[in-house]
Amino acid sequence: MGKVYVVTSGKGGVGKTTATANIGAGLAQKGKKVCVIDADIGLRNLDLIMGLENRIVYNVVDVLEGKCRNYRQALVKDKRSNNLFLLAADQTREKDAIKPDQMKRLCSTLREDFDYTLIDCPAGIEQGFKNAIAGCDEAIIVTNPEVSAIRDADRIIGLLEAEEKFNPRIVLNRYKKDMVKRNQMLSIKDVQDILGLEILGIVPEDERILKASNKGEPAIFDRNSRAGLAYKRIVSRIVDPTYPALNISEEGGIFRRLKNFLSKDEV
Amino acid sequence: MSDKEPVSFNVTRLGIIVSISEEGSFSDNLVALKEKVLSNTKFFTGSPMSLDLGWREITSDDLVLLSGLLKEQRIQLQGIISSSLVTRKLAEGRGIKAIIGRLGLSEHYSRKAKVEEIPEHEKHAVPQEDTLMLRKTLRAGQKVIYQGNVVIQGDVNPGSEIIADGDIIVLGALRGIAHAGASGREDAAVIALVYEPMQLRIAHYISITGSSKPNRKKGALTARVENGKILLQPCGGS
Repeated sequence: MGKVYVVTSGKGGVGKTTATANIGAGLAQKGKKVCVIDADIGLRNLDLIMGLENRIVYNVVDVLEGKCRNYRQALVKDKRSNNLFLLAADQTREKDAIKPDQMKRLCSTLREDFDYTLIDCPAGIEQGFKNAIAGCDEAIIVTNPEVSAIRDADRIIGLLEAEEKFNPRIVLNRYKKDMVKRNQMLSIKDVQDILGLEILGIVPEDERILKASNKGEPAIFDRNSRAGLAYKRIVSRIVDPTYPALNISEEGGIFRRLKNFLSKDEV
Repeated sequence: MSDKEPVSFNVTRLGIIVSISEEGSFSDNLVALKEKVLSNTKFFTGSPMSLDLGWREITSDDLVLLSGLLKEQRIQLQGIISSSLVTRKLAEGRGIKAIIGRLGLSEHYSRKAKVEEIPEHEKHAVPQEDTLMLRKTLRAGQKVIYQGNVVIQGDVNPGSEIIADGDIIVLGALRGIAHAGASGREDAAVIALVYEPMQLRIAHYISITGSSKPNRKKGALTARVENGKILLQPCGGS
């Protein structure tokens, strides 16, 4: 029996799709059988980030409307991995094209067939969000150390908490240690003070993410990407919850300062 | 309740409350209770009765004895008032309703109590008797509206709101909006362990505190209306 995760945030543009693509790829790298679903009906982009946009024949709406015999027809195998599959969104329809019950049933099937299913949730709290969370076991909340992102994340958590499942954990994305040091950005502690949830991982701001998106190759495959490395840690932690979260030191201490000086951009 | 008669009773709006002394053996006190009942059968029969055990911790055997006596005398026991958790749990385990009560509570409720006997602190009791206590953190977009006082065991996150007719107490960080005395009570207060509200309202007064971090005052604060505006004071003291 596999698990179904929703990757959500409330706010748009914080890195849900990037996170879904990278975590999916990372889990597949570890030999797990993974399915990623783009639930952003109308504004699909998970396929772009994964570089699979040319290979899509059927999408999730086709599956739910019965245009395919079987959901497997709609699955697109990843270019780089034999055990990673994408179920794309429909760009021509809108959020109300599917219903929570349909997603629930689809997720039941996927739970049987895959070790991990990740659902890339659209921004917002309306129908798209409700559809995306309907069949999920756990939630990954992606957010940025920035006030409006945190506010929206808090809202989302409030909605998820009402259901008492989900075990929501946070991926703090686009973290800039220098700005935090200069008090120009919310710190990890600030985020935890408000959201009060377990941190799954911290992903630093990284130019290579943009490069990766444009190439259609998730940063987790880029050895020089710090964000990619962070996602690798997150994947390890998903598979083994005792694996430590990236511990970004915010304290002093001579050895830490020395270490930071030597590896200037290390997070 | 120290000199004591083993058993005394008061007639209150809740029915008869029989207070059993915390001193002496329970079974002896029960004997005294039985005597009282027997010599006042007309009074006791048919009236709902509650037992005030004060801080006495009773045992299972005590309860058996008590139940036996009540059954024998055909007394309907409404429940037990006790300030001992052990006693309350034991009673509830046997299907007897138990409420928390402090020493001598029954006397406090007594209609017969003279004016001078009303405890000093009664004068300071907040008129709203109803208090809602929530054990959760309020998240953005969540709202609590209550006709009374509200106590939150948790945080009030930015983007959440509490609107209360009475006082608001946040046993955590107040970072959202709190409106106390919403129906117009200017003597309402807002108290928080960490005071960082987005906006604070008492009755029709509004206070917009500076949101920048450096202005964060340390420690628990109480907000009240004084001289036509909302003032902050450290908690405790007078």
